Amino acid sequence: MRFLLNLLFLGLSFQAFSQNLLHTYSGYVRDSKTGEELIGVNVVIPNLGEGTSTNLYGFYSLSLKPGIYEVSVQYIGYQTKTMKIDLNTDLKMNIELSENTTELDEVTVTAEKLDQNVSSVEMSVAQLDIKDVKKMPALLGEVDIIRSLTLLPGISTIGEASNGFNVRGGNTDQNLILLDEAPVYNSSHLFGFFSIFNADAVKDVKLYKGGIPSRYGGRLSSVVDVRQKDGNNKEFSGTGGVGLLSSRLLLEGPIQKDKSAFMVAARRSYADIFLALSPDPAISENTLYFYDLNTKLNYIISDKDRLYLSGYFGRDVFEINDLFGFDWGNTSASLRWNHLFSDRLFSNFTLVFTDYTYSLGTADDAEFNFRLQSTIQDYHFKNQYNYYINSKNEIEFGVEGIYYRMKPGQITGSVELELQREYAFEPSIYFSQELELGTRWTLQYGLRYSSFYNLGAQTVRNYSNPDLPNSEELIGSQEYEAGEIIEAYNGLEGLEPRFSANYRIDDERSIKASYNRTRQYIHLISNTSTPTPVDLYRPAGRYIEPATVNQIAAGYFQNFAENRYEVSVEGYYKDFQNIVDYRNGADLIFNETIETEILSGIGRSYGLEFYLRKREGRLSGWLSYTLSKTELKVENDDPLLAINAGEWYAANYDKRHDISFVLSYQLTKKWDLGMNFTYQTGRAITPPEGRFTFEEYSVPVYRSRNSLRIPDYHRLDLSANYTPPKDPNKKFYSAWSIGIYNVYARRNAYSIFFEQADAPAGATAPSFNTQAVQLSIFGTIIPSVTWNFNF
Amino acid sequence: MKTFIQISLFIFALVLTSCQDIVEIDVPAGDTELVVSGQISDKDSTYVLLSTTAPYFSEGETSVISGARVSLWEGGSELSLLSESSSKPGYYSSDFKGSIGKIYHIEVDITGDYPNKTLGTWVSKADTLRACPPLDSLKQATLNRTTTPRAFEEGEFALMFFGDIPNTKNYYRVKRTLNDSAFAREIIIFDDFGVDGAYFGGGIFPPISIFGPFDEEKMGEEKDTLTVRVESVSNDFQSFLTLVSSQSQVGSPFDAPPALVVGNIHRKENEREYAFGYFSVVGTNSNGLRYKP
Repeated sequence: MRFLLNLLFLGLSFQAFSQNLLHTYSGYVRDSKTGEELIGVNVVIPNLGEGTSTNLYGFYSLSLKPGIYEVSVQYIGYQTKTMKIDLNTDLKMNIELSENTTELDEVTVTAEKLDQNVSSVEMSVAQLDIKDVKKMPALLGEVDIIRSLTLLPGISTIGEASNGFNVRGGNTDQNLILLDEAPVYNSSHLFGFFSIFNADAVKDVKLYKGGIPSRYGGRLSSVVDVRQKDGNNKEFSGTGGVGLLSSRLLLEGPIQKDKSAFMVAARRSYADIFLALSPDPAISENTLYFYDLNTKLNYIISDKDRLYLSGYFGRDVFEINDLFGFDWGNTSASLRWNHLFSDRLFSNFTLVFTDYTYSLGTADDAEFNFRLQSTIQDYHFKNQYNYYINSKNEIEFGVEGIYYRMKPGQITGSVELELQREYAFEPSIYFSQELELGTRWTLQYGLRYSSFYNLGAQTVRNYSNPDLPNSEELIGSQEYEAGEIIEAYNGLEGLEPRFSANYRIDDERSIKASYNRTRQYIHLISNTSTPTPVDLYRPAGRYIEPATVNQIAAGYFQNFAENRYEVSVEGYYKDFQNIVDYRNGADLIFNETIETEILSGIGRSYGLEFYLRKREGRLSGWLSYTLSKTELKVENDDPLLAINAGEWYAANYDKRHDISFVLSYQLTKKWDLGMNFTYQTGRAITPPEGRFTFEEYSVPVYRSRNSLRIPDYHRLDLSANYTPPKDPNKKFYSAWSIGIYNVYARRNAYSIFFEQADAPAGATAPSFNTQAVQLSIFGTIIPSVTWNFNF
Repeated sequence: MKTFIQISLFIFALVLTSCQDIVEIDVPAGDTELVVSGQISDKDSTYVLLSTTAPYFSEGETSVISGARVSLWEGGSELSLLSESSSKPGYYSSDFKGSIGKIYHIEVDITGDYPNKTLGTWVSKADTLRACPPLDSLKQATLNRTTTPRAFEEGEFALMFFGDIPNTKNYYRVKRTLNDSAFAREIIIFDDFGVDGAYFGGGIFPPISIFGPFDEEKMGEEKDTLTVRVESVSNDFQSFLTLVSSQSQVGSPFDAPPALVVGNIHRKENEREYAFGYFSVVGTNSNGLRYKP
């Protein structure tokens, strides 16, 4: 701690000393066509070997000695811009970059190549260009950002049709998913087949698997930072598409040219329309669809101030005739104000509201009706500062507060019932500094301190053994007033150090290492293989402790052939504490004493990730390979409460080998082809070691958790995109995408389950025989076609 | 557009072809262990069935244990010894019927040439025999989507009129028999959560649709006779039954992980050494209905 403070003051002292000797070159980097701010653009001075990159709002700041410099502005997918600046005084310059046009005879490589992956201190980061994602084969042609990320090392899902994803051995609830800084609690539509992110509305997505910057907190394993488009402030335009599953339309344009803009994007699936065409009323009267709406307004108040107002509203609806209905979805709104206190001090104030609600029940007009509703709501405040001391020294610090309101369950209708509401407050402060030492070393170190307060009003039950609450050992309760602290986690355990280092061997090679500790105060209460929409987060409190993880990672990074190829190898080790697990047969739905169903365990995950990528040319793509192992352990003196007899067992999402091969090939000016191939070790399942008879049941005896593997998974997908030449006289143009998912129609196992066989037809006695059954989500080839348009 | 919809329909149908295949797979073989199942009620004879576990893919019923000493206890006193059936080895019974409010358990002594893990003295966790409210009546009614209660498929249904015992937490198990044949592998349990003391069939709570629709085509001349038996069970027993039911097939994306199903039988000297199965203590009532076309 003292070391960090010394470094901070060293930086500030140096800044004070040198302030009069330096001039600041600052501004925003934008897309020339749309005016969108661009994130992560390199602004470098090649002669000095110094530079910076734009922050999440497209802002850059470089402080240099007076002089004339050549500046190079580089960004993947954009033409590099080179200019000379005369820095005799502070200089503000907003820079516009033009997109690379995809022409076959333009496969040449520009002089400056991007070596961000080697030179940056960041490691364990997964990032994809949205334009590349749109070209990749996709299930039913639905461009899916999350699914595409799982093709990168260290990121996987438990299988097809799975809510959420797993990062470096972390459970699905350990991912902080941010949409314009608003947390998203359920990132899936249609029970996990598709993600909620409409790719048309997304500007940038970045996933941190490790080396997580101190500005992020609250989840153990990853941060997915998704930024929506700001809106075209140059001209009105639109993008859309008609697919087999859904259609979408995005409209954007200036409200006041170069001053303010809007973006609105809508998407709706129409499975229910197809269902209605069925002659069978049992099918035709069902409803199944999702929709989402992304909105954004931005307003440039002045050179120093800018406002962003973002919104998201998404919903899945599933109704079985007029008997039963089920819907769930996220709602979020975020208001952000960028303010430049000076050319070196950038600030952002953020207010966020987010809500996840699910609801299920009978039709409202039924004489006996009910509706169960459950909600989690967050109110966030965040204030962050970036201080650019000079081109080699940058400080980031801020404060954040989250107020949680959780309604675990409320039944309305003929019966009125409600589980106790829960309230909590999670304040945190953070600081980090990125420092270049000489020409080879870059350090990024920081500290986040978080605490958590579980608040009343609530009646808290007391148990004779509070370490292992049991409903039979209830010894009374205690009342807490509104706002009164029930349980506080505000000790030194809340310190979350973050550290990354980059040693640059030469221009093309570097070695990086990182350490981060993260802490999670809310847990997804879910006991299924993949989370369901009716699972809900519950806060740490009297009986549920916060979880923590320590992660170390190290890697080797190299570019070659003038940065056209990049290769990296990373290794990591994670040590989890206070992971939530459940008693056998735990009842988690509408349970007033949820603490009596929960067990606490530890975990460990380690692995090696290999990544080879060709960035440019007619043929581009990547090969990724992950070798990993994730194990959990729940010990207890009572054999019924110890899982796997208290020994380590594989997590059900553990996959030893995970290979992805992604290729894109520009065949002609009109046609490009895409291919994904995935191979994964089968996930772990629990086999029965025997059976016994109870009444007419053959009951399996399960003892060793997750000790068997299902068959390995592999799948090939292909796509072809046809883009006719644009008519310069027409603004409207369109393109077609054709895809084949699961080309060789493999019946990949989602799971193998063990069941009692039905008695033969005509038998009078029940059969006690058993059988193993493989469940495959997709049993066949799935073609798709999508028509996309722009205007 | 029409072609597009047709293509879409075809592809959508393909997507929904998630499939299940029976596969052969090797599973580990665990030790052979004891299984005890039985029941005491206020209406029927007391019985206990002793058997053992078997390899998972073995066929047929599992092995039984004969020659054991099985005793029934009320409070701290031994009430009677259960005698083993000569025609059905491993099945022990007594004519003794329980009384409401009394506490019962069994003790089982196993000796002889049986696997080591089954030998010794085993006891069930003592439990109170709970009163079961009367099953007032079963009535036949025509239900459809507009009636209360609703039915997805229109037809003749059996409605159960039944009142919960107020001011206590109650769990009920329903066993149905049609023409003297019990429904295979059926566990129906409900509780009074949120409806404490409610009467189903009066006020805001409609009667419970317990069976239907009666299948007229299959009945011929002989009319169906439905018998419904309700048992008042403990929380532990309903948890056990729920687990038995859920664990008989586990593996879909939204299933809980496989769990060890352990009931209320443990070694007398060591409460944490469990045998499988359950000895239940239940109050019960039943009623019947003869279908009228």
